[in-house]
Amino acid sequence: MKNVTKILFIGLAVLGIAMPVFAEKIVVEGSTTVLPIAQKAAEVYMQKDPGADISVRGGGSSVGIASIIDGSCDIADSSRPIKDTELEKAAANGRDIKAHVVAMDGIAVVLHPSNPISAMTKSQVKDIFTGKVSNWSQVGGRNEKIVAISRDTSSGTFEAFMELVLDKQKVRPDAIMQASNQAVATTVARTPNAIGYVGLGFLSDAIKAVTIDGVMPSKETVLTGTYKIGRPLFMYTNGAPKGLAKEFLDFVKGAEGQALADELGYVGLK
Amino acid sequence: MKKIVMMAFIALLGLGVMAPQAKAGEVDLLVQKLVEKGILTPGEGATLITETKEEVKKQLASGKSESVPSWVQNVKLKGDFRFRYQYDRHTTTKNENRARIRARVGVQAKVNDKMKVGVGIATGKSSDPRSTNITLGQDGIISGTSTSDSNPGSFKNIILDYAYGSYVVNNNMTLTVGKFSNPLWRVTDLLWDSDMNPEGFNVSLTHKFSSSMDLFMNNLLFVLDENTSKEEQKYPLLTAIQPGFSYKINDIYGLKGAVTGYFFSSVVDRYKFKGQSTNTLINTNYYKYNYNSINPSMELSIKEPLGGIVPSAKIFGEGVLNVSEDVSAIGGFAAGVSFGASKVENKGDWQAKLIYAKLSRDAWMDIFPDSDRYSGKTNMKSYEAIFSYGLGKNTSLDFDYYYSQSLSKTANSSSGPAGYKPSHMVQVDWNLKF
Repeated sequence: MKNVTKILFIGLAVLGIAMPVFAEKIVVEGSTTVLPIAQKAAEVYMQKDPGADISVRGGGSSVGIASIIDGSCDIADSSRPIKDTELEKAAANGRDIKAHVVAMDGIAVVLHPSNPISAMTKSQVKDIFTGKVSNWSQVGGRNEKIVAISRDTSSGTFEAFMELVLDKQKVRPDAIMQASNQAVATTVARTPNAIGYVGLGFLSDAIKAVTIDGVMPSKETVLTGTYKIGRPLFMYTNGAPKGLAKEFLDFVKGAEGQALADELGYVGLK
Repeated sequence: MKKIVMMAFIALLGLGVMAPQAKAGEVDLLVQKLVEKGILTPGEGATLITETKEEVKKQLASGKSESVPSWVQNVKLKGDFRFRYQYDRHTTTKNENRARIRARVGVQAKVNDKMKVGVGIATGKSSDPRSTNITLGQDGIISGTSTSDSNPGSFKNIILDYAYGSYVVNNNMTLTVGKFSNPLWRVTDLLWDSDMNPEGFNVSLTHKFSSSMDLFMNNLLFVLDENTSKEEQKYPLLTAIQPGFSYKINDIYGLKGAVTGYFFSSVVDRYKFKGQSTNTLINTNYYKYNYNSINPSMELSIKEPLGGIVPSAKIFGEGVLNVSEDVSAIGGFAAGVSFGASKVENKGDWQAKLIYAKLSRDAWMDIFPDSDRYSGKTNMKSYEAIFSYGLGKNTSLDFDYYYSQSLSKTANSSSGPAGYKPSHMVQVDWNLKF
């Protein structure tokens, strides 16, 4: 009996040592916009499955896609669709790149609740944030100077706003840059003549979202594409995902992963 | 029930019942209807539409589309046209005003997933591998040297610009054979005219060292002449080995660098190549020196410098050192800065560039450098200023000014007075690409 216990004990010890060696590992790399979703999802997933090893890193969408093409990552995060040239390179390298939509990036334009304006066009918002328009009276409001609140240039929300609204033009130099969506919302809530933009998850009664080209930002209008300040966020794999990559992607696209995306200010698909 | 409908729908897509382009448009409408009827959630709809579009793109890119003929999917056509006004002012020869054109057309065809063939033709003269320009009205008319040179409205020559085959061995290795665009990474045209397409083979290697560091290596064998050398009865060859790296320091700064080793064989004592101008010769016609050289290059790129006034800037430089035996004047370098868009591709894009270049007589073989800079000679120093402005998508207006002079003072001769023979050149280009 002693021997059996001893063998069992040794066996378990060996298994315990060996488990981490055999634990499956995946590398997720790419977009800084998708990074918070990937990081949070990996953190929660690894708490549920301590044997899983998910390494998440940024670098940008192009870096992630280049990595999935050359095989140095398992999942590529991207805030833009893969380019034709990248698909051709992938095909030449024998890669079968598969897209997975993991969330939508929807951005609401917000004003102080006392501002009488409730509807704007994308062009007006662009003019305000590029400095062409500096008084609310120029867009049908009161004769007050506009205070523009923006996210800092390193944020994914800023990157999306630049692309979807500003046509990649520069933000006016006197814009107040904030380090988070919450900071933008708070500043707008405290500044009567302010205009800002935040992820949909950060809307509250303290700020007023305006319609853009006649469409109010909401989860549904972003998902149906009727609200135009939105874009899909991707994770790319080489072929159909397998093993841990599949399990992780299922988790991200599942109810729990999508709830995390909502919490982070993105638009979940569920 | 919902799931069954959805699965059937996805299955239809998977079977490729619909042609890819039609598929994308029709899927949008079908999905919208399914969302409206509550069969799909908006999230499922958005996912289906986006992922289907991505799948269609992939099929087109990989040449698997059923609606477009495979030869169309496998062949890419590209080319450009340039109209140039050029003014040259020399101290020893007559000033020139010339209108010049350049046209290039090329195709790249995918043979299979691993192999490609490229063939390109261009205007130019087969005797001048450093220029694809055609001067309108012929040079003789403009300079007025002799009416017998005139040939108004003459047909212009079309030459084979490149023809190559390439084989993607794996993700990190590509082999190219034939006549192809210069595979070596260069920060200026100090050593190589951009029109010069080497003939031989190249092996390019890449390796992703980390998420911020890429390594590369080019290995080029350039067959310089089919005729064997006078003494050794060997083909003159140029072998170039270029290891390099590209390092993303952070979101603002990037650094790229390489060191190229050039090894010439069967050049010393060989009869001069066509285009030879300033390299030292013996017995009037034979190369005295070899041109084995080391060529380090570096480029620092900066995003939105000067408080974001300009979109990007680059500081770059390269040096060349002839390490062959018994060479006296052995060095050269070029350094410069550029501001503006990294590429002038769209309306309103602009880029300004300044370059200083200096190349001693035998630092490098004089048949290769930029033919616009002091006629492509060595033994010169030169200042260059370039400004490019995007007129629209794929079209730009470029201004290029060179001030160049010889490094050594020449004596009085029948071709002009003593001096450093400075020259000015102004080029105004209208570029159109497709």
